[in-house]
Amino acid sequence: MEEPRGISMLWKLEDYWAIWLGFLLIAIGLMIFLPRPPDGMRENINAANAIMQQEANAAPIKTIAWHKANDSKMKIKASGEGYAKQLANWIAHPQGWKTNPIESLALSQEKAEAKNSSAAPKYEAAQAYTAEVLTEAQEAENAARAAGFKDASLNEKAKSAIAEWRKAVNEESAAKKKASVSSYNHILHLIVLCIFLAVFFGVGMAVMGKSFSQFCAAFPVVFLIAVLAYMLDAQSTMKEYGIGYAAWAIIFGLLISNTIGTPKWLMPAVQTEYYIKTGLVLLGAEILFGKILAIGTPGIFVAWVVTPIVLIATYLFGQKILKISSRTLNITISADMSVCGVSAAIATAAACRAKKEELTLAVGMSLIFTSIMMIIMPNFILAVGMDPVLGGAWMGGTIDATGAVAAAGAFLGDKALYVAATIKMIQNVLIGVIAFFVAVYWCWKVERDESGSRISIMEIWHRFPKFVLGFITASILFSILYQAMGGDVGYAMVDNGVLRGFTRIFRGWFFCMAFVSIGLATDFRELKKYFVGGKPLILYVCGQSLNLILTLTMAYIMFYLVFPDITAKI
Amino acid sequence: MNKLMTAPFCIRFLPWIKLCSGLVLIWLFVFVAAPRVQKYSYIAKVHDVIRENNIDATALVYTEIQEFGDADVHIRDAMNY
Repeated sequence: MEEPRGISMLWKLEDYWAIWLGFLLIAIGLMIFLPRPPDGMRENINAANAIMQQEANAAPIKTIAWHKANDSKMKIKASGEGYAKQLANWIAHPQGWKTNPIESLALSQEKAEAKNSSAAPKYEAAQAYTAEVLTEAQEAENAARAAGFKDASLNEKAKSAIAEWRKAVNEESAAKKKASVSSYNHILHLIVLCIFLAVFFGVGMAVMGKSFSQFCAAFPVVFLIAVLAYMLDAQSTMKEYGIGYAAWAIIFGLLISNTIGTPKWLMPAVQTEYYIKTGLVLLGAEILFGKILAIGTPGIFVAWVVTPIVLIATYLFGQKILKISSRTLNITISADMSVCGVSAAIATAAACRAKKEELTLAVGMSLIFTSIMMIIMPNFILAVGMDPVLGGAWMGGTIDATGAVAAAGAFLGDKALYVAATIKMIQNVLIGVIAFFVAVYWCWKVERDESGSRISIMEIWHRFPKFVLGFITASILFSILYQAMGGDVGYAMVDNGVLRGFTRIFRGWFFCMAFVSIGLATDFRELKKYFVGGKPLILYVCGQSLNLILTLTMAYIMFYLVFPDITAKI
Repeated sequence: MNKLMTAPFCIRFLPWIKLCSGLVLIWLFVFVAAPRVQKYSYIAKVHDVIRENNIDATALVYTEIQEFGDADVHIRDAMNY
C-alpha cells in the first residue's frame, strides 16, 4: 500500500500517531505532577544541602550528618505523595510473588498482616543492629573530629565505621519494606486500564483507516498475555535471574502462535510497531542529557567514548569479517551488546526497521548473557580484590541489562553500586543519540546502497522514521526541564514524579504489548535462518570481549590515573 | 468438512497438547529447574543480595530501579559537597 504523503501523514501515519499518543501522556503527566510538589520541598532541599556543605567544609570524609542529610534529600519525591500513589495503583504492573500467582494481582488484609508479622523480627533485629553500629560510627567520627580530622588513621577508622553503618541502614531499609506490606487488589484497575488502552490505541487505528471495533475486540487478549508476562516478571526466582517481561511476552506469544496458531480475529491488535514506537516516544522523556555529567569526565569517557567505539567496531566486524547478510540484525545485536541490552535493541531495531525475528534474537542473546555476566563479574571482581570503584565502572559499562547492573553492583557494596548505576545511567542516555544516528545512517546510506540509486533529501526525509523525532523532542524537552529545575528539584519532580510515577509505567506496558505482538506474529522456524553458522553468537561474544577489555582499561585510566581526585570523593 | 475435524482425536488436539506441554515446561523451569540451579554457591550469593535488597534485576531502563535514583543523588552530592 502506498504510504500517505503531504499533510495527511500527520494523522494517517503510525509514526505520527505514536508521537501524538506519547506526547498526550507526557502532557497529562506534567499537568498532574508539576503543580503538586511535596510540602516544603525547596526548604528541605536547601536545609539538607546546607548541612552537607557545612560537613564538607569541616571534614575530609563523608560524616554521619552528611549521609543523613543526603538520605533526607532522597526521600523528597513527588511520586511518594498520596495522589501519586493512588494514580500509580490504577496503572500498576502486577506485584511480586513466590508460589501463589494470585498474589501478584491481589493480596488480602490478613495475608498482608501475616507477611508483616513474619518479617517483623528481622526488621526489629536490623533496627537494633543499625542503632548499635551508628553508636560505634558516632564514636569513631567524634574521635576523628576531636583530632581536627588531621589523624589519617582515625579518619580511616571513622570511614570504615560509617561504611558499616551505611550497610546496616540499607539492610534495615530493605527489611522495613518487607515488614510494611499493604493489601491490594489490582484486578479492577487492570480491567479499567485495559479498556483505557484499547480506546487510546483504537482511536489512532480508526483514524488510520483500520477497524476500531475489531481492534478493541482483540486487544484484551494481547493485554491479558502482557499481564501474564508481567506476572512471571514479578515472580521472585525469575526476578533474581533477571528474566523479565520482555522474555516472557515473547515466549508466551511464540508458544501460542507456534502451537494453536494466532487466530485471525486477534491480528488487528497485534501491532508491534505501533506499541513500540509509542513506548519509545515515552522513553525519550527518560533520556535526560544532564545525567551524563553525573560522575564527571571519567563517566563520559567510560560510557560515551568506549561504547560508540565498541558499537561501530562490532558492526564493522560483523559486516567485514563475519559477513552477516542482514545489516539490521548486525546493528541491533551490536547496540544491544554495547549500550544497554533490551532497551537499546528496541530503539535501534525500530530506527533501522529491523525484522521482528532479528529483535527477538538480539533480546534472547542479551538476556542469556546478562544472566551469566551478572553472576560471573561480581564474583570475579571480589575474587581478585579489585577496587569497588573500578569494578563498579567495569560492570556498569559492560553488563547489558540495567537491572542486572544494579544487582551485580549491590553484591559488591554501596560504592560499587553507585558507580555501576551511574555509568549505566549515562549509557542509557546514549540510546537517544544512537537511535537518531542509526535512523539517519540507514536512510542516507544503507537504503541508498540497497536501492543502488542516488536519493534526494526529500526522499531521505520521507524514509526517515518520524517517531524518532518525537523520541528526540521528548528527550530534549525533558532535559531542558530537568536542567532548568536543577538537579535536586528535577530529581523530586521529574525523575521521581512525571517519569517514575507515570510515563515509565505506561512505557513498560507498551513495550510488553509490543513483545507479545512479536511473539504472536513470529514463526519459530523463521528464527533459525538468522542464526546460520552461529554468526550472531560469534558477533556477540567477540564484541563483548572487546567491550570488557576497553571498558576496564578506560575505567582504570580515568578513575585512577587521570582523575584520582574524583575517585577519592566517591 | 474440515480435514482437522475428521482427523483422529490426538491429531485434532495436537496443537493444544503442544500448548499445554509448553506451559508445563515453563512451570518446570520456574518452579523446579531455576530454584535448583540457584543453589550453586556463586549464583546463590548474588541472588541472595538481590532478594535481601529487593532489587529489580529485570529492569530495562534506569528509571525502573530506585537504586539508580539513589545513586544519582549520592554521586551528585559527593561531587558537589
